[in-house]
Amino acid sequence: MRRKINIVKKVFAYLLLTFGALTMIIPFLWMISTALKEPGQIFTMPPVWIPKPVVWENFSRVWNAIPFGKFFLNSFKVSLLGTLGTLISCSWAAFAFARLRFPGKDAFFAIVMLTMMIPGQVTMIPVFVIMKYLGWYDTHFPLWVPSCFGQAFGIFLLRQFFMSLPSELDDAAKIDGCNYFEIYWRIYLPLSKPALATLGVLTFMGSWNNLLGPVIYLKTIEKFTLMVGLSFFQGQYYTDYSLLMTGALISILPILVLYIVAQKYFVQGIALTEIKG
Amino acid sequence: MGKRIKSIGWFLMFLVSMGLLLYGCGGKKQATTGKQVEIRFGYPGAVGDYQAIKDQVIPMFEEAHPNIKVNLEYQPWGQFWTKLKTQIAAGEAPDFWVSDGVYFMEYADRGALKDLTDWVKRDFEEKDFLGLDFASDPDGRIWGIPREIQTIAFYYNKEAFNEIGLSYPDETWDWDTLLSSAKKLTKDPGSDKRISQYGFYSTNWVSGGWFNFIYQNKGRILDETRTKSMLNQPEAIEAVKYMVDMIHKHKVSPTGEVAGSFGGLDAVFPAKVVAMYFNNYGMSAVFNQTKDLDYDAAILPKGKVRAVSYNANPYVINAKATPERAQAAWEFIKFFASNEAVQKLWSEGGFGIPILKKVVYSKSFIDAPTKPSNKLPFIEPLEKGYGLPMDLNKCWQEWRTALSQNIGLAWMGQVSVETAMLNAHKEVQEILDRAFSK
Amino acid sequence: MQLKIRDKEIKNKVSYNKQETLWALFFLSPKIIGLVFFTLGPVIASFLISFTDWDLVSKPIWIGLDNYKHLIRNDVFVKSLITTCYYTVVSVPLGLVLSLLLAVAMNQKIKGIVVFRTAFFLPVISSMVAIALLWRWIYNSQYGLLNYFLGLICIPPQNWLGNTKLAMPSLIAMSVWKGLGYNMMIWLAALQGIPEDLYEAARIDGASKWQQFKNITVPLLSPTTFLLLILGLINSFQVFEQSFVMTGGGPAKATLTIVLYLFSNAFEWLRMGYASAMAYILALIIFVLTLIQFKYQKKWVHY
Repeated sequence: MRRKINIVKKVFAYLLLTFGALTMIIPFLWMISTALKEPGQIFTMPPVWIPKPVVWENFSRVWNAIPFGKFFLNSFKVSLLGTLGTLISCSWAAFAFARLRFPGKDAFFAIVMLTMMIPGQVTMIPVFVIMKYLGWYDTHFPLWVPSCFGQAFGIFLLRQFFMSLPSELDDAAKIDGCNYFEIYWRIYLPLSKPALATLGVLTFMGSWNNLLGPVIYLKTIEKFTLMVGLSFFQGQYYTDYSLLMTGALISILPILVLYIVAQKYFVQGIALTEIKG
Repeated sequence: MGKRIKSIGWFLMFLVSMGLLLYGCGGKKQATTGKQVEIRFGYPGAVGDYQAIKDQVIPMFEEAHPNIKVNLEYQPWGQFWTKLKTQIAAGEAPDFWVSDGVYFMEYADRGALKDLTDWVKRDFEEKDFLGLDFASDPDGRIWGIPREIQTIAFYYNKEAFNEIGLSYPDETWDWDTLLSSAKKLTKDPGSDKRISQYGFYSTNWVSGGWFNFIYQNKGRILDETRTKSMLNQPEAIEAVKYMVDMIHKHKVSPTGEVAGSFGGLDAVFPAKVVAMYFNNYGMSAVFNQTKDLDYDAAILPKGKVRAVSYNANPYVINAKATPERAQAAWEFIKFFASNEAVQKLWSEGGFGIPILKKVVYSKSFIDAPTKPSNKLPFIEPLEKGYGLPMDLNKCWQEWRTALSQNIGLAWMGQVSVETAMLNAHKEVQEILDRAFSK
Repeated sequence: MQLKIRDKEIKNKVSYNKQETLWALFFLSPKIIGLVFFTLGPVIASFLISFTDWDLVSKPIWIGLDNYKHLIRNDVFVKSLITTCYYTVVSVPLGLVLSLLLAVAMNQKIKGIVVFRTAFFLPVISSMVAIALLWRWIYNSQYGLLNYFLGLICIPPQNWLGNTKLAMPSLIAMSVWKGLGYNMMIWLAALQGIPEDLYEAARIDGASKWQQFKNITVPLLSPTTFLLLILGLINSFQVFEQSFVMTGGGPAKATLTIVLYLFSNAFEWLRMGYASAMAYILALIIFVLTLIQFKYQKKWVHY
C-alpha cells in the first residue's frame, strides 16, 4: 500500500513539474512562433501558435537587415571578457572577505555592498564623464573593464559559498606549508565549481542583455552589440515584431548553450571523508 | 642642341600635365569657404529611413558641399533620448540632431538649442514651404526645421463602408455624423459575445485622440502662453466625454485593453478590428503592408470648428556647437529642406509629408499612386491654418503623462470624466507651476 | 570565571597578523582599484548632485537640502515607497520558498533533468518584450487565459492590469514566475555543496525525507538563504523593468515603483538632482534593512 502511495506521489510530482516546466517554455515557444509569422498574424485573438505560412525568410531577413554577425561577435567579446574578469576579481575579493582577517574588514564589506544599493540611473552620467576622460568613449572598454575589478554581487555570492566550506581545509593546507594563494587556487576554486559556474552564467547573461551601456558608450555602428541591434526594429511609430522576435530568439541561443554546458559543473561536492583523510 | 630641346619639351609637357592635373582636381570643386569642416549628426531612427539618410542623402550633400563632412551617429529611436541627455550633460552632444517633435521645447527652453529665427528669415521663403513655423515657441522664435511632417488624418476602411452601403466620409462630417456612422459600422456581438468590428477607435492618445476633439470643441488644453491648464473648462470636459461615451455608452469603440490585445494602435486598423480611426501619415506605410486592406483618408470631422493635430521631427542645432560647425549644420538642413531631389526621395520613401511645397504638390506626394489615394487631408490643415502642434513646452512629457494617466481612469470606465479631468487639471497645473516658477 | 575574563580580553585585543593583512590587500587589490577609479567618484558626484537642481542642460544650482525636504512631503514619492515595500515583502519570501522547492526537485540525478532545469531557466533569459506580451495576454480582461480558467470555476472576469487593487499582485505573480529560474540556479549550486554522507547517515538513523530536509538541508543552506534574502531585498527595492514595460506605473500610480519614478524624474522630466536625492533615500533604507539582517544573521545562519 505504501509503495502505491509513493508511486502516486511521484507521478503527481512529475506532472506538477512538467506542467510548471511547460508554463516556463511558453514565452519561448511564442517567440519561435512569432519569428516564423507574417506581421499580420502576430496579434490575433486567439493567438496563432502554428504560423500559416511559415516564414523561414525572417531568419535571413534579420541577418541582412542589420549587421547581425558583427553585432553578435561584439556582444560575445564584451561578455566573455567581462565574465572572465568578474570570475577572477570576485573570487579574489570573496576569498579575502571569507577567510582572511584584517582591520576594517566589516566596514569595507559594507562599502562594497553599498554600491549595489544605489540605482545606476543616478551614477550613469558621472561614470560616463569618467569614461570620456579615460578616452574610452566609443570603445568597448567601458562595457567590460569595470567588471574586471570586482562586482558586489559576485563578491557576495562567492563569499557565502566560501564561508560555507569547512575551515579545517585551510588549517590542513597551512600545516602542509601552503600560502594563501595556493589555498585559494588549490582548494577553494575547485570546490566552488557550481558557484563559479553560476556566477559565470549570470554575469555573461547580464552583460549579453545589457542595452543601456552600449547605447550610451558606443557611437560607431560597427561597434554596436546585439541588444542595440535588436532595438533597430523598434521605430518611432511602429515595431517590427517578427524581426524583433527572430533576432531575440537567435540572441538567446548562446546563453542557453552556456547554461547547458554549465550544468556539467553542477556535480556533488566534497564528502566529509575526503577532508578527514 | 636637339637633346636640349627634347628635354625642355619633356619638361614643358610635364608642367602642362601637372597643371592640367591640378586644374582637374581643384577646378571642379566649388570654393565655398575652402576649409574642411566635420559635423556630428545625431540620428534617431529605424532601419528604413536611416539607410536613406546614410546611403543617399548624405552622399548627395557631401558632393554639393565638398568641404563639409557629415559624421552620422545613429541610434535606434527608443534609447536615443536617454543617450542624448547623457551626452548633453557631459558636454558631448552632437552638433545637430533630429529631435522628436514633441521634445524639442524641453531642450529649447533650457538653452540647449541654437535660435534659428534669423537664419530662417534670411534663407527660407515661407511661401515655398509647409510647416516652417512648427518648431516655434509662444514668443515666435524658431528652433528647428521639420525633416518631414506627420499630420493626423481620418482613416477609414472602404470595405466596411461598402458592406453596409454607407457613403464615405467627406468634409460635411461632424461629431454627430461620426457617431451615427460608427454605430452603423459596429457589428453585433457574435456567438462568443465578442464584437468583430468596431466603428471607431476612441483612444487615450494625444495626437490621434483627445487633442483634436478638445480644440474642435473650442476648448484648450493649455493657454496661449502654455503655462496654464485649461482642462477644467466645460468645452474640454465635453470633448473628452464625447470620446469616452463612444466606448462605454454607445459601445462603438473598443477599450484600450481590447485594442491592445490586437496589437494596439498600429495593428487595429489593418487587422480590421476598427473601421475608422485617426492616425498620422507615416502609418500608411505600415497599412500598405497588408495587401487586402482597402482604405483611404479623409479630413477629420469638424466640431464647432476644425482642428487637426500635427507633429514633425525637426532638425535642431546644438547651442554649444562652434560657429563654423553650426553654419555647416545649417547648410545640411537647408540642403535637405530645399533640394528637390532630396525632398522627392524622402517623400517617396513614405517617411512623412515633405516640406517643400513644389514636391508636395507633385507626383512624389499628392499625385503618388500609393495608398491612401486622397492625400489632401494631410496638407489642408497646414495650408488652411487649422493644423495645430500639441501645446509643446519645456515640461510636455511630464504634464502629458499626468493628463493621460488621469483620464485613463475615465477611459477604463472607473471614474467619471468630470472627476478625471478635474484631477488632471490639478496635477497638470502643479507641474506647470513647478516648471515655470523660476 | 577565569575563562570569561580571558575571552573578554581576547575579544578586545584582536591582533591582526601583518602577513594576513598584506595577503588581504593583495586579494582585494582589483576591488580597491575598481572602487577608486570607477565607483567612488560617481557615488560622491551623484550624492553632491542630490543637493542641486540640475536639468542636465544648464549648470547645476546648489539648493542644499531642498530636494530632500520636498521629497518627504511628496505624496507620489511616499506612495511609490509603500508600493515598492509591498512588492518586496510579498515577492521575496514567495520567490525564495518556491525556488527552493523547485531546486530540491531539480536536484535529482535522473536522466533528462537538464531539460527540466533548462526549461525553468528559460524565462530568465527570454526577452522581456516576449514575456510582457505573453502576460498581457494572460491578464487580458476579455480574452485572457486567466479569466478563461476562472470562468470555468464561475469566477467573474477581472481587470487584472487595470484595477488599482489587482495590478500590483498581478505584476508580483509575473515577477516571481520570471525569477524562479534565477534563484533556483543559485540554490542548486548550494545544494551541490552538501555532502552526500550526511544524508546517508541520517537515512541509516531512520530520518524521513522531511526530517532530512529540515535538519540537514535547511541549516546547511542558510548561507545561501541569507545571500538570496539580501540580494532579493536589494533587487526588489530597485524593481523597474516590470512596471516600466507592463503598466508604465499605472493605473493611477498603483504600480509606480521608486526606481521607475526616479528614472522618469531624471531622464524624462529632467530633474536629476531630485532623482539623485531619491536614490540616496532609497539606498539608505536598503542599507539599514541590510545592516539589520547582517546583525541578526548570527541567530540563524550557520557557516
